[in-house]
Amino acid sequence: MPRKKLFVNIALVGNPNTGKSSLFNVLTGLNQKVGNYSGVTVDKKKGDFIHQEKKISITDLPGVYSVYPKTLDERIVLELLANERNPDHPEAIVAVVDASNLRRSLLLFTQVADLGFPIIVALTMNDVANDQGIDIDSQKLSLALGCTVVKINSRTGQGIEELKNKIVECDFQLVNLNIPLDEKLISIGEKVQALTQQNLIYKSILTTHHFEDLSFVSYHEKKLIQELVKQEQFKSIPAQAKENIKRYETISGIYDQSIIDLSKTNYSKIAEALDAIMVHKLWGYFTLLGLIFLVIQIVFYLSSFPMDWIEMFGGWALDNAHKVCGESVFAKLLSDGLLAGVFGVLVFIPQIALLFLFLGILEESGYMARAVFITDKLMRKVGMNGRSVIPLFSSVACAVPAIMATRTIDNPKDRLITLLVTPLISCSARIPVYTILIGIFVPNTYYFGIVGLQALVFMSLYLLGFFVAIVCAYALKKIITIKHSSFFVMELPSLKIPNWYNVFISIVEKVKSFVFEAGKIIVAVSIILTFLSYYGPSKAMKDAEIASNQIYVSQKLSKEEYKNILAGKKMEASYAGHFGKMIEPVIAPMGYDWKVGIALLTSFAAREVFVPTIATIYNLGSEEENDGVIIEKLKKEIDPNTGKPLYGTAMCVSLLVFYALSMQCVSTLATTRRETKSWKWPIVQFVGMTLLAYICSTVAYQLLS
Amino acid sequence: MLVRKTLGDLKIGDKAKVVSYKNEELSVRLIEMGCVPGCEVKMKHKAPLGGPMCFCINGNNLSIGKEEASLVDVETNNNA
Repeated sequence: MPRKKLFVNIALVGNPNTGKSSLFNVLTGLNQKVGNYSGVTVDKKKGDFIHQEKKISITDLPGVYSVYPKTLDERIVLELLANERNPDHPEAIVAVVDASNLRRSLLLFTQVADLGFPIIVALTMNDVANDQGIDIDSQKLSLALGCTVVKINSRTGQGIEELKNKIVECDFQLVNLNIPLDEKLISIGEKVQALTQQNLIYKSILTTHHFEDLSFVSYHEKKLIQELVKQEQFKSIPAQAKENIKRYETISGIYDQSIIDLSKTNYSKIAEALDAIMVHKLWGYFTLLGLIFLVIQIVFYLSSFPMDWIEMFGGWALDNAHKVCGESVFAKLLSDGLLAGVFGVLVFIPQIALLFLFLGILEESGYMARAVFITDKLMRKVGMNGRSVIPLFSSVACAVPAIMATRTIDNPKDRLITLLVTPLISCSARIPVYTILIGIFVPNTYYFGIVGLQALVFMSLYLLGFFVAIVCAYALKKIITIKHSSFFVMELPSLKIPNWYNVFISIVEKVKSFVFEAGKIIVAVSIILTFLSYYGPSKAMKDAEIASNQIYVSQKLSKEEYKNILAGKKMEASYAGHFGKMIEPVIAPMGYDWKVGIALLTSFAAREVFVPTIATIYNLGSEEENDGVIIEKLKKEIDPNTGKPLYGTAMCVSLLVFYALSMQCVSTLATTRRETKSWKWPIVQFVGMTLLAYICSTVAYQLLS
Repeated sequence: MLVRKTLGDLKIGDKAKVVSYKNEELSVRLIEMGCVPGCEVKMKHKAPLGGPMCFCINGNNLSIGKEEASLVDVETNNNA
């Protein structure tokens, strides 16, 4: 027997919800990387494993139902499978076939087979099939398909070792089921094949269907194919339907041969009861709202402990950095810019990890699909659809992963609207700002002993964000004109206990992408803003020092007080201070002075920077971490014009509204830019939200003052 | 007696057989997901406010928008 070649570059192909990602996680563990396919923002999941001293690299392709793509994610599958020159083009394929959904899985299988790939079948969901009253005879299926079939279970590990053996032994087979395709389709396919010199007729048929979207078809070829399609009156949609029905005829035969009737079903009573509640016209919404509330509460509560530790450690590290590095230009940038920026990124990790723990559980258990199911109609009324619930929900933690989550929305208009309004939902970075400002003007009283007034104001800010997001979505629905008919057809996967390993992997992956993608920008902006707030025109800076010295001498201050006064004066004299004074006339209608102006500027790195900036301006010293001290100090600030407290109700409400609605997050804008592949939408988002915040805050201030 | 109606007309618990589609683009989507002509469907849930409906097809649940469901012709045994 001749030695078989080893395929080292393998792709997993399968329908959504077939356990494809579970298999990928079990095969590669943490040896996986999420990247981007060149030119498109589709996650590329690649990993590798070593078995019998052979290293195999695996790509987890997005789950699709066929090679006729409908969404961005799906297009990449066709692009990779049909173009052998693509660097990610696999040599062989592990087809993930769902035993509980055999016919549908085999549809994709036959298409991939016709694209000329050597294949091994991994048969998943065997336990679910058994519950449905059927079992698959893997030997008979293997015989009928003409390739190796391995029954696997990613939870128990059953069959994984065998699958790895088959992969390294290169037990892949070319499959030819001789599915009779339409004569007209073959005839036009042959003509396209002659034009493009493709090696397989099915590739040419797919090219005929999708030539406009395929990157590997040259402009010249596109023109010729277009001509041909017109001439032959080729219609893509009916041809697809016809082809797939033909495929199902062949599949039906295979299905009948390989199935064993267990003649008893075993549906879980608990799952059915839960399902009935989750999609109930009343209880369904209660469940959804309850879960959202619960998740937010738990995430906030649990994350506060590790966040405190990180902040404490960060404060300690900053203190030491100040002592070691001294007061030089470079040292300031290093400690207050770089180090503080890094801790500013790290402090978000607990929240992101916890949020994705819960989102992972909801997704894995099948609940998310039910949330989409019951909210679709409502969301459609305001220009989004059921799938928008997931990004809107996620943005309570952070808009960055939320915007990334809009990729699952297949309608481009709905996706764009969801992506644009998502940052209006109050994210975790707004919490420190809310806490300080609410502490100033809302008394800490409780009704009925448990309902805190401060907590109520807190909740109402979330409602404000949500309400404005809905109104904006509705307005955008009327403004944006993208014509796209979309159908709501979605699988409702069975409810099950989450696969914890998948949840774990998803948390690691999300945290990694936050730290390395958004983190980079946050640190960079932190360094720039540090520079702006510590340095200014040299004369102004000198004057600030002289003025502080005079105060120090005349008022007999302590060394510590002097340092704080100096820091405040210097910030006033800095470039940031100049900026604050420059925009003072603009922000005056909202009730702000130049001091708040500086905080607005520095908040642009991340909203929570508001707190340390305000602390520095009011000579509290930037290391002052105690919110209580800041609150007391701000309460005592007097407006020089009116003689009343500066941080009165009107000013605080105006600031809260501004922070709730304005776009002050570079990371979000960078993500929007990446996801829409244009500068237009991040600009629209920035200008739109800032303007909206400006108007609302001005109205709030003018009404209340 | 066999009665022609659409998927959208089914009540919870009704069973029917898919016959044809009134929209080609939708038909491609449904066929890919296993809802082929001749297959048995059972209506399982209905989202409130005229939202999507959920059908059991070959043991798996597929949710389809109400408007979309009324574009699928089915044959059913009951006269309701």
